[in-house]
Amino acid sequence: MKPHPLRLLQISALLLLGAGFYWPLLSFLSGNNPLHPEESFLQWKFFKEFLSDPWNLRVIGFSLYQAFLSALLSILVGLPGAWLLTNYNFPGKRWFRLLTYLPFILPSILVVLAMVLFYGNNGWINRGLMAILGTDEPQVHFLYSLTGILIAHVFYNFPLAMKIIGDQWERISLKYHHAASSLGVGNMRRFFGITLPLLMPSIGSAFVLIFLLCMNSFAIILVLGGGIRYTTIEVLIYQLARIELDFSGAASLAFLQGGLSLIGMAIMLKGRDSRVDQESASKSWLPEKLRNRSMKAWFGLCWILLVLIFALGPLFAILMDSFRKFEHGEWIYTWYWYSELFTWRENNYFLSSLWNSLRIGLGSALISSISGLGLVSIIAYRKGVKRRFWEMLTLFPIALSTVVFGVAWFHFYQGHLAGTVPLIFVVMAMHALLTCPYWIRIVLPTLESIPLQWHTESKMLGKQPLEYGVRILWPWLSKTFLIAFFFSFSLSLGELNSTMMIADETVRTLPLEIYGAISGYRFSYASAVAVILLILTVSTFLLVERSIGFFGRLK
Amino acid sequence: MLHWTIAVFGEENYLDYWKKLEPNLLSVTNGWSAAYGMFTKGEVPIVLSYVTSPAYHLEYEKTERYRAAVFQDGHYRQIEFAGILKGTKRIKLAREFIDFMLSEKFQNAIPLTNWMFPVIQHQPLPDSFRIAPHPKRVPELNPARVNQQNSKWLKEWSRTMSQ
Repeated sequence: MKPHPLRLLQISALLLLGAGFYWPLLSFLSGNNPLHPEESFLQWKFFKEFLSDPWNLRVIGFSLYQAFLSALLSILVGLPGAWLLTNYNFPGKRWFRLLTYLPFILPSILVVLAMVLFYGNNGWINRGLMAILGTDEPQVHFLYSLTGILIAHVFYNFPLAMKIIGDQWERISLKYHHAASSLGVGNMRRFFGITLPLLMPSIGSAFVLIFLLCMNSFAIILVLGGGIRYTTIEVLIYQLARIELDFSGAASLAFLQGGLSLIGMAIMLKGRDSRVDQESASKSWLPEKLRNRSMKAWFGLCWILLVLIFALGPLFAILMDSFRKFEHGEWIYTWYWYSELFTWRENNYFLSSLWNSLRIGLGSALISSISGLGLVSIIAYRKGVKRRFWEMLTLFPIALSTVVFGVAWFHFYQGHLAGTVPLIFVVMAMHALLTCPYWIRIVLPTLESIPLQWHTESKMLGKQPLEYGVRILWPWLSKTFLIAFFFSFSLSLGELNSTMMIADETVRTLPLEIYGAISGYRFSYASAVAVILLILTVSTFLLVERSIGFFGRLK
Repeated sequence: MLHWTIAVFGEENYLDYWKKLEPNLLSVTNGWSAAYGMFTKGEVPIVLSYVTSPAYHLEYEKTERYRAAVFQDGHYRQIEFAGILKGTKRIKLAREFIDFMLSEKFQNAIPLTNWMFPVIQHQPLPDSFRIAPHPKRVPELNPARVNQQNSKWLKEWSRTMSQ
């Protein structure tokens, strides 16, 4: 019998996940501590001691609390965006969407510096206010407190919420809307009674993802939280792994953190079986509604403007910084850093980094898409315990601290792959493992909005799975696939932590170039590299979009 | 910085110093880079860095605006090192590389690339290093003691700072 093509896909995806993630991790953790070979790696003693200290319990509490708040706020900011994108068209909409994704691809150190440049005590907002009010004192203290942490996390994550929720919103049938209107149900009641419950699956999906990301966030919490004042589990993991070289302790804590995340996920992933009908809503043209003085449209416009300032301000600050140079005691504006980038000389690693980033990004996005497809097909339409099991299995790679993932992979690479597999493929596989969970989160809600009976009907009509895939699934999902692919690609472009563990000159990527520049005093050079990274993402997006023939259709 | 306070104030008093310092700290970052970035972008007037940092700004930015404060109690020394792994299969090559690192050519490149003082000074330091003060006193902690106590100190310190 010929094997079902989908089966093959599923098996290879599971192989990648198992051999690439779970095996290295488990073999690393079950082995002995490399620094103290007589001790085994995970020690129960550590957990007992750790959990019996009330200070540590407070740290755990704060980790969960800030992740919860960050996810909640990201969704509150993202929800109006999802509404706006579903109900309105406006000039530059495509660009607006694209630009809000950009923070995601910057290495966290640059996000931190971007936030400081824009929101800091001497940042753009404060300098603007100081100039208006004629004082020398910073007027608003955004950063170096819990607010700083939340601003940065929302800046990072609200586009994710907007994307995931917006996708599902588009598929809520107008029937409900009409039915509600004819029954005389008001806007508010319709939203809370019909729309919101129908959106719950995607809100849950976005919440879980953002929650996990914020649990693992580290540089942002430390720097923008005002130093060690706010300690989270991830900060402790970093201290153990990087400062005390206590990998055993770090791994144990990472496990604890992963476990907590899993419990959080289990609660949030529970019960989602609402099916949604499809019939895309028609969109109003925003400028026209604005002329008609529609309150809702004006609210939408305000939201767009606020988000543009909020999200693009820090990026714009990076752009401006890339043109600055400090000379003879003052800042001058110059192309200097860009000419540094593009001059051919012996020590110019920028051009090769650019090439490496591009290859690794495309390669890993491809692997991530293929294995994502396999895994998604396993999860889709399942219910109950089995579903939760598979969802957690595929989400765990991002629930685990990247510090520990990096160390485990370093051992795996040294022990099994070094010398046999070219490093570049290793890095691609690593990035694919880290980006695949996002791919799945993005595609899953849209895939499940396809009625199950289509699959059954196509089978009954004797359609080949391939034909079904190409003729039915692809047109329905291509926009989502495209965004998921692009997302994986841009995440790979920005990945630093785990690449740094194993990279050498042959796979030096742009984030490594940025990191190198920053540790050598050249901060504005780093900004220039970041600008190139951003341009690269934008142009790749446009290229992929055009090549699929989607131009203009991606609203 | 933590080790400096322990070396200067002793294990009994270093936390008192940090308690007094805490209200004046904007942030403690995860590494030198973020802190120094914030400093050069004008976010803070003082940063913990190296006495050699002003030399970079003099060399590349032609400014003497940045100065290293000279501490009465001396400065803690950061030593960067290279070693050979016990189990290496290429001991000869490794030794040759360490010899190369100690060579004149290599050490002469250290000041303007790694922004540190060379281990062996073969030629006069570059002119920009005139702005880097030479600390008179260098308080130190016994490495064995650091190895033994570090995790305890870090624990005490992070608890003091996040109350």
